[in-house]
Amino acid sequence: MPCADHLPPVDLSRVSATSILSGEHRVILQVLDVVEKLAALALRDQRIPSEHANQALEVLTKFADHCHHGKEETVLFPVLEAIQPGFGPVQVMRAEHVEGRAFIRAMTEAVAAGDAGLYASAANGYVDLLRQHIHKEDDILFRLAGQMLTPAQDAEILDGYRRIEHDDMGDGTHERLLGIADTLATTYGVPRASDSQQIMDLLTAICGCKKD
Amino acid sequence: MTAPIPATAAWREQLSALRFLAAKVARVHGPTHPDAAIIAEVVNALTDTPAVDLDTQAALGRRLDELTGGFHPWPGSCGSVHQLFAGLKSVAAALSQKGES
Repeated sequence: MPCADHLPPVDLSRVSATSILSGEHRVILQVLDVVEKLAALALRDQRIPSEHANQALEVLTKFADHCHHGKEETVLFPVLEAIQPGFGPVQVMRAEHVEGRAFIRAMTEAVAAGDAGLYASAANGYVDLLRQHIHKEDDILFRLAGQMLTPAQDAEILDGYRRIEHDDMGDGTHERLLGIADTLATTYGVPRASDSQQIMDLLTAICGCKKD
Repeated sequence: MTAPIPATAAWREQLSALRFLAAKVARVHGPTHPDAAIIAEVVNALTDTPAVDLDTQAALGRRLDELTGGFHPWPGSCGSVHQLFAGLKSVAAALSQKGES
């Protein structure tokens, strides 16, 4: 296997099975920056900014986990595992998704209980986990996937993403969650991923809605 | 005394979501509806307009009304266009209320 440094980078200039996910990673990283600030505020004030914490949790639960990790776990990963049974990197990513859900549960419980210390601890743990997880996916897994997938498989995966966004999540949900992510970013002075035209193109690339 | 701007946070959030919907509609429908790209630009501008700049917001709201022909979806258009136009209509109505307050 070639060194990861010598693999071609994920091509964000075209829509593909992996570039869509890398585009979504930029939004998740944006929300993680917000969550890091929320955790710092919670520790400083010993009080959780609960409205914004709940909004961030909604984006993390529905966009990052349900939609984004859903695309990976139910569409991309099975194709990669069919090409290469027992594909190690996918098993590691699945395990980290499970770990991330435990942090989300802890954050949700902490907000409900108003426990600022527990919230900050769970939030910082989640931020650290997801940042490293995204780095592994972008720099290793997606580069390998780009080499493994044929154009036909790539198109099949994009169709799968379309089903998740429209049949599973419902028209407009994706955009609503992206809107919350951007509003939070503006509130906390975090740069918006969508200000990059390249990323905006990837975030709005999937359109499978039907004519009325 | 100036009246408070109604539901600013919720309105901003709705506008942020419409920015993504408008970009998608422009990408998909731009070839057959060139105005779709202009609508997306106007929504972008509206998103970035400071909440206190009521005159600019009102002007952009009127421009959206013109570009969408009174917020009537194009014949035979998809669910995303319907959602976008309905959302823009609601935003324009809020802008109109803000202008009057």
